[in-house]
Amino acid sequence: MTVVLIFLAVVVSTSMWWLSHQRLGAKPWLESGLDSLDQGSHKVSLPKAKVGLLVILAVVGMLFTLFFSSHFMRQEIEDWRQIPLPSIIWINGILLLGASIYLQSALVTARRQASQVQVVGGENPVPVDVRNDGNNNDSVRPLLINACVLTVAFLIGQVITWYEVAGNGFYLSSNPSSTFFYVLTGLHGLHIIGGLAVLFHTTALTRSDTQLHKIVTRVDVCALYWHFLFFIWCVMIFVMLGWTYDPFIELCQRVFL
Amino acid sequence: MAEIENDSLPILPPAELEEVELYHATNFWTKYVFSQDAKIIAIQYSGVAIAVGLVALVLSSLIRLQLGFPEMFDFITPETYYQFVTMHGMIMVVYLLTALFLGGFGNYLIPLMIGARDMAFPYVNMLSFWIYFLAVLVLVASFFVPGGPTGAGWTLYPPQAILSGTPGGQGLGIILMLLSLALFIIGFTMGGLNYVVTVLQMRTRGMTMMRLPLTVWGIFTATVLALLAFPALLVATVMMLFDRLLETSFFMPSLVEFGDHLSYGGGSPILFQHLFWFFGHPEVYIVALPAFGIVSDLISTHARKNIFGYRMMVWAIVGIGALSFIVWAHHMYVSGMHPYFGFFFATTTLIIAVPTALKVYNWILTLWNGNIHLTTPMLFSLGFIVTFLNGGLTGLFLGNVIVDIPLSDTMFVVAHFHMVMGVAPILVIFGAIYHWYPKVAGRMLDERLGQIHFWVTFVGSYLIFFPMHYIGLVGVPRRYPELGDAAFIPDSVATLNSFISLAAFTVGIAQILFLYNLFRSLRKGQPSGHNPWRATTLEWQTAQTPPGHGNFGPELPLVYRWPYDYSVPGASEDFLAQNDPAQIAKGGSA
Repeated sequence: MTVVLIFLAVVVSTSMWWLSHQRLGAKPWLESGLDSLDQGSHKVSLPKAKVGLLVILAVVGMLFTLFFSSHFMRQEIEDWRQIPLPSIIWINGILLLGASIYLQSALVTARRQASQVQVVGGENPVPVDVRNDGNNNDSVRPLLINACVLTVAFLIGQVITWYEVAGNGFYLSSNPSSTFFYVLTGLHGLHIIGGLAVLFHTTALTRSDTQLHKIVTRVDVCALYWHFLFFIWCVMIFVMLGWTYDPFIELCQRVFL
Repeated sequence: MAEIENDSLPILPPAELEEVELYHATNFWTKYVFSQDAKIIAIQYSGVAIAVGLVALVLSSLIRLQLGFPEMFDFITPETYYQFVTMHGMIMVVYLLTALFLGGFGNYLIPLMIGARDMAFPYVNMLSFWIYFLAVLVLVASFFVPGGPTGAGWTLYPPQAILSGTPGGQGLGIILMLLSLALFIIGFTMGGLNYVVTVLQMRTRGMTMMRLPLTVWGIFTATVLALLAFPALLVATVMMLFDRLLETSFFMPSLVEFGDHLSYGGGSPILFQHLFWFFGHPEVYIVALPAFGIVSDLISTHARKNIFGYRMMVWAIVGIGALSFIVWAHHMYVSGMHPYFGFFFATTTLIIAVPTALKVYNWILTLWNGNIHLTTPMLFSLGFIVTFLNGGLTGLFLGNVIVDIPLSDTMFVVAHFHMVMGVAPILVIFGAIYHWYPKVAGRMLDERLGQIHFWVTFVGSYLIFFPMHYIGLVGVPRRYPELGDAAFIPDSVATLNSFISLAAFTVGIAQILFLYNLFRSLRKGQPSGHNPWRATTLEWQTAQTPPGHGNFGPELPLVYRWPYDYSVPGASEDFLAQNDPAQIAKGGSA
């Protein structure tokens, strides 16, 4: 459970950092008036959807960390046999990384365009019709489509990985190691599929003329989610390859346990 | 900077919030059934939670029938007894308390108390309820499958939970239980996301974190705990479902059952215990923190006095929340853990008593010299403080490894946790219902029935659980349908058990009075007006009672003060609402 506690420590310290900016030392019984307590940032200056996503990421992170923790505890029992992973996983990794990069560049593009709209407006921003303002959405759209394609390719790659592992004779209940392989990759795949639903919707939105700031938030949320899932994927492969037997990790385990 | 802001005040929008696109219901179905209004969802959550809670109440009476009068009722076999115990525990802890505090009170109170029109993501909020409802249906369905519901005990420890010796272990019982829990967690996560984001993002202007009523602080922190703790239960249920259905060996060691060598091998039952209690202990505080928050508000309002040490109360809630994640293994002292491990967890367990005790002192100091109105909500609050204190004190015994080991798995443990997380939070729930019912229904609950309900419930609970401690100290184990002729158990235990059962039936029947009061007052209760308790918080300042769609009038309220300005010297009334702009010079006393 050490890994869980480390993850939890990260979440808790982030929350505490945020709380420490909320004037927790204020004496609200002495201060009345509308803004007497309001100085400083009392509200998270992020869109609702992004805060929501950050909360979801904490929950999803917790879920995977708990699985990793169980993996560590289970692999110490002697019936554990490390299964070899087929090399196609590396191609899958590159595909997911590619999708992540495309989403990031879509975000950068969308943000730049949104800021140009602001500049056009000057001090009194006038809502600018995105459609007439050059081909704004057109430049975001292909990036999003590429991200979609790469992600779907990643999922297909993951299924091929399953077939290869099963072809090598490692089925779900052959060994705890293979069980964890299927459960973890399956769970990760489910999260990707959930994300894809949102990404498809966002991509569809760019076809028609929608307000740019809505697109920015959506792309922002998708990009962050994809980076996170790529990170989880890396850790997952790291854990499943049994690299945690490395002397360094072992040392860490001894220190922390 | 501050002056400039004040000068420009009239031009500023009423709240620095994003434009809220309120969903407007068009017909009966979208208004009352698939509603996206947090208030309707709250009532739906509460209704289902109370209904399934009544099932658990009946189950507890059946348990007491067996314990008080063993061998008298043929329909209670050891198997059915285990099923009653399991379902009673699981329903009460997860499907009643968690759902009612967070889904019920959370949905109703958070938007109203922070001055928001609705939750942050109303559609997700609606899904949350319907998935919860589905989870309850799956759970109830397990009563009607061949073999009946699972009888594994509410902790569902493997390997016994999925073996044929346990009721429901090889049938559908355990599968439905695990599925239902997984659904509950998914549904809860959707709701929890809403509660957290709403508190963070949708507070009205002037409502800083340090001006939130403690109810919101309690529900908010409990939600954060739940969001981080429930995944552990989800992981455990998913793994156990795999073990049960697909013959994997996460938790299942190599086993021989009736001469057959099962296909399992190498799994670790202790792993399940870690996962379960990593959820299970924060769960105690998921139930307790909203109760702490609500009781603070009830005491302050009904004693007409500001809460003592608001800051400390907030810090204590947050501190308890953080600490609750590093005490889980105190449920596992007898699992063969390393003694130093036990020492660590005993220490953290005792440390958590510090902020908890701080809260108890602050409640008492709030009452001190207060203008105490012995209304039903106040009675229930007082009952809570006493009961929580009692249950907490026996927690200190059980938190110490060396005392816990002989007491482990005795009725002492049962008495302890029923006091601290059964009776205590339920008393708060009753108090809160008597307090907020006028806002929900526009009519008061009957005060006389309420007082009778309180005294029977409160005294009755003590008659049930106080003697149970002694039964436990004698060494009577829990989870035994019959004690038989054990030499160490004196005859008086049987007498005491019958007495406890009679008390339990009385308390159970008294709840009918409460239900009658709930339904009768809907039509015949006294009209309550907007603010019958003369309370300060925003939910009492709405234009309509019950609050209409969108909660507040055309403009959101502005918040000028903290929520506990009661009996302020110099004020025209004995309370100043949070949205009251009056300037009263205040001294430095807390």
